[in-house]
Amino acid sequence: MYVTLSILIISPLFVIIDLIPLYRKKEWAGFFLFGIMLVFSIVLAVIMDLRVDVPSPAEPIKRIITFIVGPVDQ
Amino acid sequence: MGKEVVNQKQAITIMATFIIGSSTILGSGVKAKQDAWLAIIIAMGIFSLVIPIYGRICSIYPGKNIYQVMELLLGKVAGKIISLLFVWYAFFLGALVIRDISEFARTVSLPETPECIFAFFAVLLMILTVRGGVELLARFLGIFFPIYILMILTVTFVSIPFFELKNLKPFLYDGIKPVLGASLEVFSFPFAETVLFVCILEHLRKNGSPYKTYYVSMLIGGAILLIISVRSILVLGFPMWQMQNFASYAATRLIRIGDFFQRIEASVAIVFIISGYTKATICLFSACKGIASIFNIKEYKHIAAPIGILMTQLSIIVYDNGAELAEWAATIYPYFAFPFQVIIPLIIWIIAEIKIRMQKASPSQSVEEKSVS
Repeated sequence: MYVTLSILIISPLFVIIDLIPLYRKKEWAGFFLFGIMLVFSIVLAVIMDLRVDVPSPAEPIKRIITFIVGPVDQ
Repeated sequence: MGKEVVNQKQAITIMATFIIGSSTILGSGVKAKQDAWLAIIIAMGIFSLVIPIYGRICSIYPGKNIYQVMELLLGKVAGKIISLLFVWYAFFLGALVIRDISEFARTVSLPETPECIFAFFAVLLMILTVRGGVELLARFLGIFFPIYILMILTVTFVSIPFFELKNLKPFLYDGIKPVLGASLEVFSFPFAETVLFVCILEHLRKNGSPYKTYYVSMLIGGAILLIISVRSILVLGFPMWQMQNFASYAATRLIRIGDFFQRIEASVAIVFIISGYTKATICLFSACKGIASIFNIKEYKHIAAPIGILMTQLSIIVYDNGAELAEWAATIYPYFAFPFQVIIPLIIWIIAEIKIRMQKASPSQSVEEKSVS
């Protein structure tokens, strides 16, 4: 609940000061990139708040590194 | 974009604060045990060998940041792929720093607050700073840099009665090998992360030199790290120092002079919040510039908000708990960061030098040659 709530509190400000000027200036690349990233982050936030276990990128990085340099100890 | 200008002093304050960054509380050179000071000095030596590469990349094409240089040198597709890798590094590093900040706040002061609330409102400030530009950060640090340096020095002097010199002995008990390992770790954790500045220093004023900025801020940042580490070892002693999650915070906690001068650990928290905020902001800057350059967006400032929000979400999902954070930062991080800190800049530097030599050889491109030299 908290992740979605924080995003919904923060993002309207930036929609007003960033997204609407991008639309007015017809800079479509920035406009769509902003929109896609915002929608993605809200979807991700809802998934996180539903307590779905989102896989962390730290785990595959660890696996790749131990694959290349061998076991890493303390 | 060209309007933002910082002078040499401001650039040095930003970079020194970046180096001090999250190492203030996490401690640096923990693997070397009581010889951590030696590890930090060796790391500064290694870093001073890498600085010429970074400085040359900054000054080779003045007025262009590293992403534009990559596209110029490697062509459109390969340049964009390498840019994306570099953006990933900046993005991931920013997420780690935000996690450090929120983890610290949760552990020491706000145990009941959900972690994401603190992280999101820290990020709100960072996004607004990125929208304001590098100058804003420089002016902010113009006020706070002297204040927090004074704070660190005061705390150090006040904790002198609690020093025990026997904590620094025995010297090189396990031989030189763990010290060298720890120095590589210190090299990759605060020092070589300044590779992100190769896209900030395009805002440096014309008479400023990137080499000087790098060297002076390495000396200032390294000296502060040295002071903080040695202070923590002298107060806590080695096994305690390694056990604590936030060592310098724990060391400052013990200070008590009379009955009235105590609980000055808040000073460590203030220093960490300022420097951690600066570090995460620089990471956000770098990621925004990279994404704007990849997708051909004119103003990098307009896309700061969604990138910052995604960075915060990554910071929440990246680790399950604080112990995993400490373990990952100590063992995996140096290997993860090495390609971005050394290999990619080295490749860019070599290709750029070859290209300049070839341009000098062919007389038809004499106009470009003039602008380069």
